[in-house]
Amino acid sequence: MFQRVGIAVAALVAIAVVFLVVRAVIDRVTGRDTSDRPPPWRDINVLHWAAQIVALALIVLLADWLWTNFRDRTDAIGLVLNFDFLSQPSGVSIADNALSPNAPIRDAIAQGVKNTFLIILLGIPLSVILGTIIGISRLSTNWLLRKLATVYVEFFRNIPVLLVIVFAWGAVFLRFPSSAGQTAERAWRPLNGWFIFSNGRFAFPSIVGLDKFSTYRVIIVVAIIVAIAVLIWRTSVFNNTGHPHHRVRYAFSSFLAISIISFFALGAPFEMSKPDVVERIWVGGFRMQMPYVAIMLALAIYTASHVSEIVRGSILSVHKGQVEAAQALALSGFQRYRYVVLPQAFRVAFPPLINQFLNYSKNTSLAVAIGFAEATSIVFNLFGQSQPAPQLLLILMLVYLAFSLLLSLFGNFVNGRLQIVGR
Amino acid sequence: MKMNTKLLRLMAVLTVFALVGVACNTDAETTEESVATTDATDEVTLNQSGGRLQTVIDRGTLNCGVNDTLPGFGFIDADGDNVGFDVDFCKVIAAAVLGDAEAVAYTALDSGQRFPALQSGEIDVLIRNTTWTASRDGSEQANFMPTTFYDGQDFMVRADSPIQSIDDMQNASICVLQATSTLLNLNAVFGDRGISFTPVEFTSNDELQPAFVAEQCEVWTTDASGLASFAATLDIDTRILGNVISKEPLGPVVADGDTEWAQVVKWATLATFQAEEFGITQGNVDSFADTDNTNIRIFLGLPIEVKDTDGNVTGEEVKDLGLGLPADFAQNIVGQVGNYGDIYQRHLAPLGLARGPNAMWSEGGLIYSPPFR
Amino acid sequence: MVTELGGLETVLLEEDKPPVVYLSPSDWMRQNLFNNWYNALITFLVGASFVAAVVLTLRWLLAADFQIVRTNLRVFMIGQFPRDELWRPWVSGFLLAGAGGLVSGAMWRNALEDAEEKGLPYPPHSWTDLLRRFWAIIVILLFFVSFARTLPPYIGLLLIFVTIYITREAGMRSKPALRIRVPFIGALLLLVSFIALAGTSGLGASSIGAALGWWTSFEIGRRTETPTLQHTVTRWISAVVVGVVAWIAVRAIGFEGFGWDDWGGIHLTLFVTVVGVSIGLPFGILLALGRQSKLRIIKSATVVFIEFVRGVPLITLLLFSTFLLPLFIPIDITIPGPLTRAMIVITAFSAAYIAEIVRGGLQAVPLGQTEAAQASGMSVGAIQRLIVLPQALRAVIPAMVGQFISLFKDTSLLSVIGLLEFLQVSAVANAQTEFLGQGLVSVTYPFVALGYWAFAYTMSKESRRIEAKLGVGVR
Repeated sequence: MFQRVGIAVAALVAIAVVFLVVRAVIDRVTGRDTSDRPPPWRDINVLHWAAQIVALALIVLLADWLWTNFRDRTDAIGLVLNFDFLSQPSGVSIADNALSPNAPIRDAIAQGVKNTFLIILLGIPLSVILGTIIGISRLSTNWLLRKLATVYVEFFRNIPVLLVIVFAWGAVFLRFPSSAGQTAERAWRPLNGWFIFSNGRFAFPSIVGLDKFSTYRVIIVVAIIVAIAVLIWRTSVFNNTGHPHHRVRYAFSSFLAISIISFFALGAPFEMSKPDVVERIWVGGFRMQMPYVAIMLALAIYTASHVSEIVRGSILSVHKGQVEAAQALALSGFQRYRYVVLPQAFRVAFPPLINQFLNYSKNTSLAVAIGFAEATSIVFNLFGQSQPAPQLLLILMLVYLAFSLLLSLFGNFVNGRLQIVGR
Repeated sequence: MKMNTKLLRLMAVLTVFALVGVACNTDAETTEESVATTDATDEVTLNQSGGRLQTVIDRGTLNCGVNDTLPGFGFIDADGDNVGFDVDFCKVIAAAVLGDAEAVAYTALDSGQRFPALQSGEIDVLIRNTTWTASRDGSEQANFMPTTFYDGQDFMVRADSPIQSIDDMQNASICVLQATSTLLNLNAVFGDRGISFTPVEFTSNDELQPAFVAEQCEVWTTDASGLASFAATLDIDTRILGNVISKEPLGPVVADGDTEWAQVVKWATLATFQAEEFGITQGNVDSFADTDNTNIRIFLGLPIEVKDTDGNVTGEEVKDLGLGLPADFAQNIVGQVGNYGDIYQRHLAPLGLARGPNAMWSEGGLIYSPPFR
Repeated sequence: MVTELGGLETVLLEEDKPPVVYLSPSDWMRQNLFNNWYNALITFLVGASFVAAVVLTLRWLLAADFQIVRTNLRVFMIGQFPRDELWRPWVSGFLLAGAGGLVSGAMWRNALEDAEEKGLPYPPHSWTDLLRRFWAIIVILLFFVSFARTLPPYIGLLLIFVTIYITREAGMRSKPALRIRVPFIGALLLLVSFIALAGTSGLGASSIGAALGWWTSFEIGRRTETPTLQHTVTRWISAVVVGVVAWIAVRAIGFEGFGWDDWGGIHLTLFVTVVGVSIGLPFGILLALGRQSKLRIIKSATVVFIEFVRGVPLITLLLFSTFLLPLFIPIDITIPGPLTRAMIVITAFSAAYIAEIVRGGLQAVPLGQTEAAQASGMSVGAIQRLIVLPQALRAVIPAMVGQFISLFKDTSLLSVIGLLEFLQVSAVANAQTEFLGQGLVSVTYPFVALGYWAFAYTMSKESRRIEAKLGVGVR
């Protein structure tokens, strides 16, 4: 190692000498006046470049040392450092997933990433909605609501998220009735069995396409396009005449009208499928893993406490004059929030909210504690089967970096659109 | 931009490339070097890991990888001490090598971390209800020591469950630990019989047993001893099916490549078997100080008579078995921890586990030690 | 009533204040709970569910069997620390309490004398005020001790409170000469408490040597306003000499102890948090300065490091510490224990987050400050050290406390890699033979939650108090 340091130092000295010589030569050739130039050891330009080169040299040395240690250790253990293991059978079975244990590892990891995405997809909107409600509640005129919202926020912000997750799973969701038995007799079936709640799975009705369902899907798409057209039409009517546009009413009713009429015209192209359990196999309906529901809700409840503080801060940041002017114009409370306060508050709240989205996506990795097969759980499982750790961990970290990057890009894009033009 | 500044920048860029080139050459040199030193490193590694016995003696403590959530085998009691059948074998090795059964640093590992910790040298020996299989011996750089517990994989259901045997488990949900031979056996055996099932995987027992109690799964499968210990301690009524589907020999594990250390661990473990065969227990080991049985004297490291060619006694000496252990290692083991029967009685008998295949060979079991001579 | 607003002082006269209205209870309810139809509806619904929740909680509290906590109290507090060495955590606790009381008392006195100098009123010291601020921690400590089965813990806790009282009073009455040296005394007490637990190992000895060396340097530096070269050289040399002599002396004592691989429970949680932030802080500041730098290589290197560490979940970094970090240690060095590796990673993690916080602070310092300092001919190092960093760090104190709280909660993730910290003790306790399978997680999890909550809540309240006092963010 000292040999390498010695070589590096010699190289640096050589570069310094070469640089000085070349500079002197160039100065002589171009006849530049160098009388007021400070000596190299006090010349700020030289010092900047020298610092950078030395920094680069240190980084290279450090990387080289670490890499050598790494190679020594992995050679001693016999660890293979390529990515061939990705096509080995994974030995991982994921609940409610067609993935077989013989499928290659890359498929297992892909399923894990998909599960992470599903948690984020439903969880972030839920936490935003819940957080906004609680944030507004903290500013309510109702004393009880205000105090309870404060208790909620002060409680969940000060306990670890892992504790919320394991408590939600172990002390709440696991207490649901079991789905054991040939027909899951003990599971809870509200609404005459259209929903099934158990501590393993949660099932609700789904749509099953019958004859002519594809035609119906096309008609639905057309209905959406028509609704958007109606929206634009009513907005232009409003812009031209000033009559209230009621565009949501118009668009929604036109969409409903088309869908319902075509439903009956085509003779009921779909039906609702009721979930059931037959010989321990769950048929019909749409099934979700309870651990998925647990982690999504636990994270949403935890993140909502942070979101509510952001929302509250953003609402308070709206100038008091705006609120007073709205009150002077006799806008109702709802109108005041909807047209004056929230649009301005949202602009302020959005950058910290992006941060919370990133935290949410990173916290999904804690599902490993309750046995839901998202990305970290699957990689943890693979570690246990002695698959090579460096490559797997690298893939896992890149997955989360990708999620962070995508969420940041999305957030910055929306943020850019929200900014007031001209500031 | 003045020409001088441009030239300076160009020089700087070239300089950086030169530096990177130097570094790369340094890498290349060191790669060649390290190719050479890898061979040397291999030898060095072998020699160094050949020094594990000396490392442990110098350190004064044994680093032992154990379980902390398996009743009877490895768990943490209310005083914060590691307790269990496997934990006692850590103490056996420490008593043999260091003369002090308490000189152990325990590292709790879950099933995913156990082999990496052994391979990296973080622990000296892994005694954590680990099954000896061919693939583990071959591809995990693991070296398995004498089996201390012969076990088999079995199933447990609630007492009121309609499941009576494997054939009733079509599509059943089965709780199982990740990264264990248990899951592989399940896939194999159930696959052969064409029975599909839903595995519910967990990383550790303290996540699994609440799930079983809450009936997130109908069946719990693991080694029969583990099932028995949980059945004895859980509050609910359970039934163990008795469908043993595999052989699960459990024992200590060391890392490959260090024959001296493996030898030490092996014979320390075997000493507990031999002690029970001789009838030496923790209670009576001191009374064997003046026994006439030569084999026992050699075993305990007591001086034996040296006879010359005519059969006349010329003196006494302590026989050195050449294992790298102090002569009285067996005395330390039995005196401080006990023989195999003592250890079994202390931890597994209270759970209702009969000796079964774990009885001495003279009583029809599989616990057999090669002779200490 | 005086408010300080960025240097301007406004005094609110009594006659300008709005009239205080006293409402009768029914009037108050009408105004605050039932002032319109939807508020009335909300009050009923929320009130009903709140009452139901309280009843359920009380029923649980009275019926729950806390034996699992009682039996395992020691493991919850200090993990697997050997039970016949309990005097060590207690001695360490006393030293920490003493250090805390002394430093806080001296700080209070400093603030008092500062205010008197400026002619501002300063509220007299009030122990009831302190009790009110720290009620959560006091209540939780009493709650913990109530599970003890023997008398000594009660006495010990009482003595700790007494120690805090005595040392704080002493600090408040200290002379200026002593007060200047209080940071060093506090640091030494902290290090001695560490040694009480871990023995005079290399780390304990070297940190005491470093602390004493720094103190010597400080003392000698104080002697003159205009340091000459000779003075500076003397100062550095004597600092090094004192440091080395102290190191040798401490090593020579040869006091045995238990390294942190033996620690556990809430003690470990607090230790990891304090070490993570205190070691992460200087590195974080360096990273932030690096990120601000105009030198592109340093800037890109720090940016890559910070964005990488902040973009991955802490649990992947902990998995890295378990599986990958051993592979980067040179082959002839023994691999450090799992806790040491986890602390390396946690320090890097908190350094990256602190770097972002400090970066915000650096951006809040007006550019004019740097320019004026440059115009005065200060060197780059002096500018950063004397002008920029003090202002930047002062501006981000609330955010730092937030990071401290965040790290305190994140130590719970150490349970996923098997370390016996506060949350993991719950799992271990539930796996014991006498408590297995009884669903006692509904007892242990709330217990653990209260422990975390009390500390985090107090810290966040203190942070808000400091924020209000400093006037940070007030326009």
